[in-house]
Amino acid sequence: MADLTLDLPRRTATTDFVAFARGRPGFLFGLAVVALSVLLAVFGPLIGPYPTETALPGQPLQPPSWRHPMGTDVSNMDILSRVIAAPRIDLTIALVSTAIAFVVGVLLGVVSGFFGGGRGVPRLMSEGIMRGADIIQAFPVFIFALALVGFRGPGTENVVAALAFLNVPYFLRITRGAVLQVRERPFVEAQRCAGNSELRIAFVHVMPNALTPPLANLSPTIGFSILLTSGLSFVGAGVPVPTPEWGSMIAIGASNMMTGQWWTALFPGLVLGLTILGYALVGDGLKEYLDPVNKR
Amino acid sequence: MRLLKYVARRLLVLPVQLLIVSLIVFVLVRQMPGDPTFLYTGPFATTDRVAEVRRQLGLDEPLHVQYVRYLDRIAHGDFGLSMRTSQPVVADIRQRLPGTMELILYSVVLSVAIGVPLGVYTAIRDKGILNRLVFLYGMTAGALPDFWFALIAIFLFFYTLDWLPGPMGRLDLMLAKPADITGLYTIDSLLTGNWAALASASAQLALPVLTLVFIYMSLVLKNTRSAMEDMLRSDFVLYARAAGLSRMMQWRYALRNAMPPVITVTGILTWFLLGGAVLVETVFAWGGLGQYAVQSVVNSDYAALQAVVLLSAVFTMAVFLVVDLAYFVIDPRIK
Amino acid sequence: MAPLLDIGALGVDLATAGGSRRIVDDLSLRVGQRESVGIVGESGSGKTILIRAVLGLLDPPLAVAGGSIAFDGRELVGLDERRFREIRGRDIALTTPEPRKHLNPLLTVGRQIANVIRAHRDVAHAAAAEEAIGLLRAVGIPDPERRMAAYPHELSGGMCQRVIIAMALAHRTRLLLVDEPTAGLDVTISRQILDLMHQLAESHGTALVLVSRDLGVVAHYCRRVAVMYAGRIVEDASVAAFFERPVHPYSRQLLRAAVAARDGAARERRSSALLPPAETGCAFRLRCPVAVAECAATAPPLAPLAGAAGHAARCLRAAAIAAGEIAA
Repeated sequence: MADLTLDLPRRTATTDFVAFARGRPGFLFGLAVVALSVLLAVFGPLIGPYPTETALPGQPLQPPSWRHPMGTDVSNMDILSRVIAAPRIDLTIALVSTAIAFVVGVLLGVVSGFFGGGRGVPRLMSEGIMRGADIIQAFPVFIFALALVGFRGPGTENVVAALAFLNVPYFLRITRGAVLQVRERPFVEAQRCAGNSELRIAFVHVMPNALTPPLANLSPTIGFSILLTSGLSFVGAGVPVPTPEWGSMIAIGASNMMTGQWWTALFPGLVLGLTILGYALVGDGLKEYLDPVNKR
Repeated sequence: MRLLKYVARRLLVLPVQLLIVSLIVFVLVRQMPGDPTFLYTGPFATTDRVAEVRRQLGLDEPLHVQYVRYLDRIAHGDFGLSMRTSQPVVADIRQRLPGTMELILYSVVLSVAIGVPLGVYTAIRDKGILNRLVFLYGMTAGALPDFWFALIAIFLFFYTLDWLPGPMGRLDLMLAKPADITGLYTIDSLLTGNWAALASASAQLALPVLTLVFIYMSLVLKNTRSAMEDMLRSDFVLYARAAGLSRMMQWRYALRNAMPPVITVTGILTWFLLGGAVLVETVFAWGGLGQYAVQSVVNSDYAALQAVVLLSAVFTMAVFLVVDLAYFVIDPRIK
Repeated sequence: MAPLLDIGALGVDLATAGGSRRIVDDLSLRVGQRESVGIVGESGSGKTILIRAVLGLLDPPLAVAGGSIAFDGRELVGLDERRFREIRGRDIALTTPEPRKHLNPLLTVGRQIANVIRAHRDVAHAAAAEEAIGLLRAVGIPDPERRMAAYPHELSGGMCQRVIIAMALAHRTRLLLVDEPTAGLDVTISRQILDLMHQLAESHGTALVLVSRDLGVVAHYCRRVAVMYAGRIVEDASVAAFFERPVHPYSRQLLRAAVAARDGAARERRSSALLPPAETGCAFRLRCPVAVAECAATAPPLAPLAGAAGHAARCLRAAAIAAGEIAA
């Protein structure tokens, strides 16, 4: 019905970010998690009460106590110290791989979106990029990550490379979608009339206007990359033991879970889950903040 | 007739996709560090021996010839020998595939059977405690690592409560495997009336399936709810209401139109589960394809890994083909 | 004779974060049996909300906030959903603009019509389908047996509109609410559709409420016209009286614009046309050429004009305008 779509009062882009965040406990929680994870990535290994990669003297597998709030693991390493040291490697891998994927994905997305539906070489390029993305996404994510690391051998750089590669199609698609909309706006035609080259229009005028969706997806992708990293480390294909890393800590504690030492895997996994949740919530919040029309 | 044409067209594209996927896997394998010859000969072989193995492996040929050879071999079902099990990879896979399929089958069926009704219900009634619980669940479940949740479930239901068996594979070690008909223990034991095996296989399935359903059902739930909400707000449901159709009929109109996205997400779920199964299988010593993949990575068993990756891509393509067909059957607008 | 539809002092509120806003205010309108009334006004004037209120289709954040809607002597405001359902489609039916969007895309049109029939009568599927074929024939769809199996996307916009009409007339409807019947259709097609609706309404003895932005359509198919502005009716008159001597300054602007459009003259461009309705006093005063200080102080009621039966206007200066003392 034509005018049933009422002009409900809408949030404007100028709405104060603080006011926006204040009403959203989930978003605030996410922001706190992200801030904390960054702090721990920088200072985590320094502030733990015990060394993070060496066994302590005495009985292993101590349950949580005042001395060891999260207990100790099978080699009597302090779990708390390792849990707060882990963001350094987990976050570094996730940040670097996501940054690479973002840059490559956005560039390819602009090319494929801006030149899609045209003719000649640019069109072929655009189609080729999309088919390439299709093929990468034909492999189940974790199996592909496993295979990439497997064929290249374990090690941090290979995990980064694998995750970056896997996340490219994701940013590519999001950017392409945005570019397809932006390129229809009148100002693009105006730039063309002003004599700008197509390439210049694509990267100088269209790209900045299409960055919001991929930017809003940075945070959840970082969370997802942390999840993949920990999964790879869990099966021994990621960060090698004894580097403090949540997934490998869970692996170390796995067999203890079946004999009742619940703290060995519970705490690393809990912190891991909360971190991923935090990054996802920040992503949700930013999406809502940056896109007033989609506001619920 | 329309359907047949569509299937035919889709099947025509499939070989092309397969070809590209095989090329990617081929390139991936060439990524591996060092000369694979030494993996077969050992580090102390004579140069003659190395050259001989190189020739046997076809590594002395130019790359495109190697690729064509490789294609020819996989077309004949020859994926080489697993270095870890010393068996043909195909035999290994045949042995392990049913375990993974059984896991995925029950997880998908249960996720859809619970997630879709719950999603529809929460879309229709947008208030209440159940809605808040479902909202919280949908938010958190996707963020939890499945392998960690599996361990927690084991601690609770095996160690603490002792309701379910421990993570020791697909069947009680004391029991003989049921007759091999489909390879799915629950179905085979049911078909042959092997009740002991059925009970054991079901009990062993419970925790891994619980894990996968808990973690991945949120995908189905959230997408069903949002698709249903969109449809309930649509103009045609509004008009159905204006024409005096009952609530039930309005919901049926909405539900039918919400089905295509639900089918898509079921496909995505299956695709996700294949990856998720890798980790969960590892935790439960499931002995399926996922665990096989992990073992091949850890032991640099390239022939095995290569086959698993290829198979997983074929599986994915098959899943999305089925999704497209279902879409086609449901939506008359697709040409 | 009692009016078929009697809306009295209806108010509709939109709940917002900072309280609620009145969207439709002090709206009174009567529609007699078999009468045809046109409602005109620019988009956003509340016409469609009014129609939805009559059908009980307002959902939060919109809600009826006072007044009454009596249909055939029965109060509709506050009626529960189950009772309302019995009235919708059976006694009061609706046709919509953009008909294709209002049909279920995954169901054949035959099935959809049959569902509407079965919503109010306990007949078997086969019988309902049989009846649906008859309805399709009645709304002028050629080869109705074959069209029964068509999906909405296979039909043209005009055809879909005919399907909607078939659904609206599936029962002995007493009141047909026609929302923007010409939106999105070719001129020739919309003429055919309107003729069809009018003729079917006449032969069924159905009263019509025709909501449109097009004064020409209203002039041609209605006997009375109500002009809406900012959620209120500002003038209510017989079509003859209205076109002969509109009183409200807004009506006069509308009419001038329509004449100019018909004659192909340049559209009257006034920056004032972009001004929003005033919050206090007369809502139209900011755009009104004859507004005086008093217009800001009091919101005028919809008052009958002296010496013109059935003609009312919501303007403090109506009498002066009607008498020709000032030119609006």
